[in-house]
Amino acid sequence: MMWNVAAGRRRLLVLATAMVLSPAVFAHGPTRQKVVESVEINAPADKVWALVGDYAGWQKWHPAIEASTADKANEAGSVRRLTIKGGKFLEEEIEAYDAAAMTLKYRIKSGDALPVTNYSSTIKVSSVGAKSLVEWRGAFYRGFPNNNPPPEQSDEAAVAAVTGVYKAGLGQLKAIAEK
Amino acid sequence: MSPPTVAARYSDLPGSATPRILEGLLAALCVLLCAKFALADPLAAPLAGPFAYVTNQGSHDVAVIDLASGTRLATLPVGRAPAGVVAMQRQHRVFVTNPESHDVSVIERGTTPAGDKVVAQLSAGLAPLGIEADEGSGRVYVADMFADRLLVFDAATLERVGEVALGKAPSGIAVDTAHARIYVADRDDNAVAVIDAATLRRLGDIAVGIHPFGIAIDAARGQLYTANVYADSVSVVDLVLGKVVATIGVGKAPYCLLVHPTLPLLYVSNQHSDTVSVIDTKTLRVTATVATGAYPEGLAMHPDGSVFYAVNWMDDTLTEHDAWTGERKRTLPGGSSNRGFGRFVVW
Repeated sequence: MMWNVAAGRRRLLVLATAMVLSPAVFAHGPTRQKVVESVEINAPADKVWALVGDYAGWQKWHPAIEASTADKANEAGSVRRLTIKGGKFLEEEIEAYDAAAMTLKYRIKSGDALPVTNYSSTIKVSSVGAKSLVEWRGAFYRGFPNNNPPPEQSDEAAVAAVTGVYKAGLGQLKAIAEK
Repeated sequence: MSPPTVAARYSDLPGSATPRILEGLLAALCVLLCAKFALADPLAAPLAGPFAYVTNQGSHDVAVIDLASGTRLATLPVGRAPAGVVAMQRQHRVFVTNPESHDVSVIERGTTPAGDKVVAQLSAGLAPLGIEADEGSGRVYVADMFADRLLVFDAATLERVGEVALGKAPSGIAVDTAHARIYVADRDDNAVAVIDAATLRRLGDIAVGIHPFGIAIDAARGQLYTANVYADSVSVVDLVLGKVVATIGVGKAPYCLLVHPTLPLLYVSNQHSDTVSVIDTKTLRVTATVATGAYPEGLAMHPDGSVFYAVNWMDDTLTEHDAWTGERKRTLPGGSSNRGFGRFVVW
């Protein structure tokens, strides 16, 4: 649901075209937006990282992901394809994977599931005594590449969509890890 | 006879980096004298500084931070989502680009930051972002990213005095004062536009790496550098040859660049790696990669050349780094989504 931003045919066309084409040729909105969400989980960090650090296994904890495959497992440069419930997709590449620091950095290469461009993200698990803290940060531009965006491609829409993805994911991660 | 080196060729050209160094020394001396004078007055607080004018995209203001104490001395409301900044020492003015209100805020500096105030809001096209200034000619250059042009303002009269058509998505700007050239990274053209500063004629373009954003001039070595965001590299352009002579791999999504005023060092902020790369500009090798805060953007030098500052957009912090090693020395509180894209430090 969170990934499913209501939109008309025109927006879908523009967004799909924009995101499937190489981002290198695509302009973006004037300023980058950010979302930072975190959750405390009553489970050891190792247990949480076993879920978060499994790059191709996010469907095990994120409620919006139906299926996932990755071409190089957890290596830097590994590209995963997420199939989102409802049929949309995201292709994401690992920018850095640090198991010792329990930190994963990745970026969206292409996809039509979020009204954003130039999206990059860091998800990090830290130990807080016997519990753990997961922080998920995203940086991205809105879908519309110029001034005066339509509402569904505005900064607010982009922030709302990413916030929804993070909250839903972290909530479910907590529920599963605390079982 | 072997061809002359770039340095030799540059020494034949009029002008050099020397006047700027002298100017810096004079400014430092002046500040020291001023500080001494202020100390003599029991009612006046000693002048500290230098000061960082940091653009806070998220709170639509500029923080004036005393870099000696690391404390914020003033907060100046500007336009929407301020990003670019250039502090003009001689003009006692700081210019700030506001991409979302499509204007440039002009800050008039007081005798202390408490006296700083915004004196004008200049209309500046569709999306003003990159900004640079030439203190000698008193001109301010603004890249209008959505209208593919460079806007030229007079720093004293605040009139718009010129305009140059550019390539796609012009971003970072660098000025070579010795040779009266302006260089602008045309980000979506993967090129740098070369402009004659006197006539404001676009002389040509130089192909560089993919998605150049930040750009910096290295007058001493006759080189220009671009941070190629999608190529994770820095292009090195020989200004006499007018083409890329080397490409240096750096961290992920390199964004802004800073050339040390006297040492052969170049600094690169790597947004997706949360690091700064330190490059030896004689060997063109990365000598260190050091941790910053998250999403480092703008870089600026302390006027004494001992440390530089990175503005960390995701973290809302500034980090202070040793000029030689890049090692992080301090972390200073910043502002909401602070950027500091440009020369944001002055005495």
